[in-house]
Amino acid sequence: MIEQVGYTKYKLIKIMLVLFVFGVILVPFLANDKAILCFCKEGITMPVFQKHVVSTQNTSPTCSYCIFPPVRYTAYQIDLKNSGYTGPFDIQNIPSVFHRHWLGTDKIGRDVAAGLLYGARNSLLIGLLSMILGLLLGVPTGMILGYFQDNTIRWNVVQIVLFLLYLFLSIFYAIYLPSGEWGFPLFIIMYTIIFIFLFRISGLQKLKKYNIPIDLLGYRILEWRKSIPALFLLLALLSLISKPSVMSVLIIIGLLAWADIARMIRAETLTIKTRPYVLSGISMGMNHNQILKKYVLPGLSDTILVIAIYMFAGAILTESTLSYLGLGLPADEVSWGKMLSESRQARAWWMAVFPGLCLVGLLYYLHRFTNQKMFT
Amino acid sequence: MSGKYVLKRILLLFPGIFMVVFLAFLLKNMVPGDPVENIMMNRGMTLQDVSLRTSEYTKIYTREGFNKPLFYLAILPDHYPANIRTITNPEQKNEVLFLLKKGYRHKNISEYLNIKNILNNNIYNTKQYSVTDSLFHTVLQNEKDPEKVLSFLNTENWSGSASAESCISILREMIRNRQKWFLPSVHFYGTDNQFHQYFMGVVHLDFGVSTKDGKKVSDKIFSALKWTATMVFFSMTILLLVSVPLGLWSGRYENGKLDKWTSHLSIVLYAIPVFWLASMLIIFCTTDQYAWWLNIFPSVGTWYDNPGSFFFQNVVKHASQLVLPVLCMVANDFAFLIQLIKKQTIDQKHQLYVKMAIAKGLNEKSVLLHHILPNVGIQILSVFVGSIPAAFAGSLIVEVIFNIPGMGRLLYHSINSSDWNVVFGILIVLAFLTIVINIIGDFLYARLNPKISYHD
Repeated sequence: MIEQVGYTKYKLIKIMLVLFVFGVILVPFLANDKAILCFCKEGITMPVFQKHVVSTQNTSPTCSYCIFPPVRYTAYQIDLKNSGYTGPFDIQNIPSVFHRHWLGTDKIGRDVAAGLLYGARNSLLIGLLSMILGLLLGVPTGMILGYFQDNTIRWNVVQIVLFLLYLFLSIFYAIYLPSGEWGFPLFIIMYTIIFIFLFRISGLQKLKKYNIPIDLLGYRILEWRKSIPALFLLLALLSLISKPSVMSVLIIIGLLAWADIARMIRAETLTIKTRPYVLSGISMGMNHNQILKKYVLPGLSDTILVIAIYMFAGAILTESTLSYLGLGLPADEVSWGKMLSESRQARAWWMAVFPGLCLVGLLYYLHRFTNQKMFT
Repeated sequence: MSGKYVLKRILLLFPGIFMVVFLAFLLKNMVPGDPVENIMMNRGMTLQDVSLRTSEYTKIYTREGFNKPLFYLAILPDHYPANIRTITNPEQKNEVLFLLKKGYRHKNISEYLNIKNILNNNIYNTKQYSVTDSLFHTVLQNEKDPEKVLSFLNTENWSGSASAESCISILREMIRNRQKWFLPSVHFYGTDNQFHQYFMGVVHLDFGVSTKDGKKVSDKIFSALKWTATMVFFSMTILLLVSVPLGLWSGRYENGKLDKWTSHLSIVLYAIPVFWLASMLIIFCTTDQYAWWLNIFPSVGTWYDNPGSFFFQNVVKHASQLVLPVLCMVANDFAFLIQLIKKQTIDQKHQLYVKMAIAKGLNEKSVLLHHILPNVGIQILSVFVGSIPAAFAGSLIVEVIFNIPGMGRLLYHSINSSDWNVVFGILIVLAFLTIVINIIGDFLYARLNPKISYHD
């Protein structure tokens, strides 16, 4: 599916870093009601880092000179004087030209430009973290399914029984974990160690061994997951959470992406497994662990990178879609999707155009690196 | 394609559908909130009288079958009762569950609750009851050493009456019999359980009753499915009609004017989220607020079906309103499919059979239409079939935005009004459609492509 990304790999990582720095860390310095730097009689202060500054827009009279961020509002700040959808070209009730709402305000007077920046932070955070979560779950699963397939792992009867027993007990104690003086986490660690010990010992016995078709079973599960459309499943899962937060949304998005990632990684591992260097590794007598680490994982790096970008864009799109439907983030969080949905009710074009352009720009930017791979 | 392969694929359908139904059932039982309360609220039963309310609650609880066990079997710790769902009162159930989780045996718990009820009903002892009740709670809430707290209680001077003393003896018994190790035991319930009921209902296309308005869920879903299917049909037709000629043309004249235009447009179009496109079109192209020539499409209106008329008549009536949603639905697919067809055409163009056809003296048009197009068609078939379930899912947003009474809007409104029977019914129907369409696609692919033969 995916051949070579080449030098763009490093470019991509650089771009992700830049996006992260600008989008997540620098946002409070770009849009804030507090000054970044003040030259006062007491010395140089940085009000951005102070939690409680009494006077918001004005600085204390002892300060001679202050450097303000370009947007002088936070996304959560309500400007009552300019509430009720003030457009960017409308007359605004503001103290000076620096306090202008360059991109207009929303219904209760929050600044759109600040909302864009803080929304970008939420989007990037959700995209990045859910991508990492999805990769952490999906890549090992896909690698194991693709590498071991149906005929590599061979267990004897005792091992199979032990494994099933272990699975059964784990699920049981995960549900009915009794609280009390017995220190049950310790108990679980203990019995896991005992089971591993027994498993190893029973592996040495000379019994007839059977193939474990993990690929068959795992791929069935991936197919079942695929049979339910992701967006519908996402909505159903979100309704399980009584109080959604940024964290819960990104965890659900990451968990749903896991199956897709595993499928792609599995397909790629299947082709890598037939490459001569892997075969030579096997013939040299390396064990599976070493081959997976030293040959398969580096061979997968390009694919993982493309999938990561893909996932990143997908998670951002999903989050904004959910926010647009009013089901994703909690009510007090800012998001591009939320601004877009508000624009539909109010016919305020500035709330449709600017967040939308940001979203399209970001997605276009991400897709540009994968577009050659996207259409194959 | 052998008959064995077809049979195998069809047999593999069943575990898939079973798993989907199981997942839907699991999620349905995991949603927060009391289902009986939900039903009572939606029917407007705000009963102030406690006893009347309790009896009504019990009635609905048993009628809806919530007192039955969940699944065919359950793995429970051995001190649990076989079926905790027979307790109708939710507060009592929660209390019993809380005590069971602490390791107290079910027999002792029921004795304790009996005594508590006797104390509770004895109106002359109200004051003493409130004292003992709160004290018992402190005993049972204690994690580390309830016996110590109990002995501390015993020395107090309040236990004058016989009932309180018996209560204490029961508590002591409870603590003595407390389970320290939880050992699993398996209970079998047979077919008289909630999952069996639900699954059998799904097999007969009966997803229960909507809690919102008491209509049958299957009726609601299938009247909504008609609109979604119509939209998907139109969008897929338009998709094929536009993208195949464009893709072929831009592949034939690679790096031509049209190719450059379409490839640039595709990348931009691919990055545009559906909901943004829809919002922009609604804001700018349905009113003359910004310019008179921008008022192209009809505004998002209300939809109502005449009960007497056929579905087709309704579609014709709302045809003008369907234009924008269908356009929004296919925008992303255009971008994808045009590029795919172009790439495939370029690949096929350099194959030997094309050279052969040209050498034979066929003209360019006939080579393109009769030799390249079928080969491209086989390649894009699987992608096209895969995009049909995606279109079903993608219609959700379009339906919500354009207020079309389809499945996506039904799901959205059902989630908002926590009408879970409808939500998970839709999930099952959609999963079933996806599975069936994918299988038909695979069969078609194997049928049309002579290179592929499935032997196993």
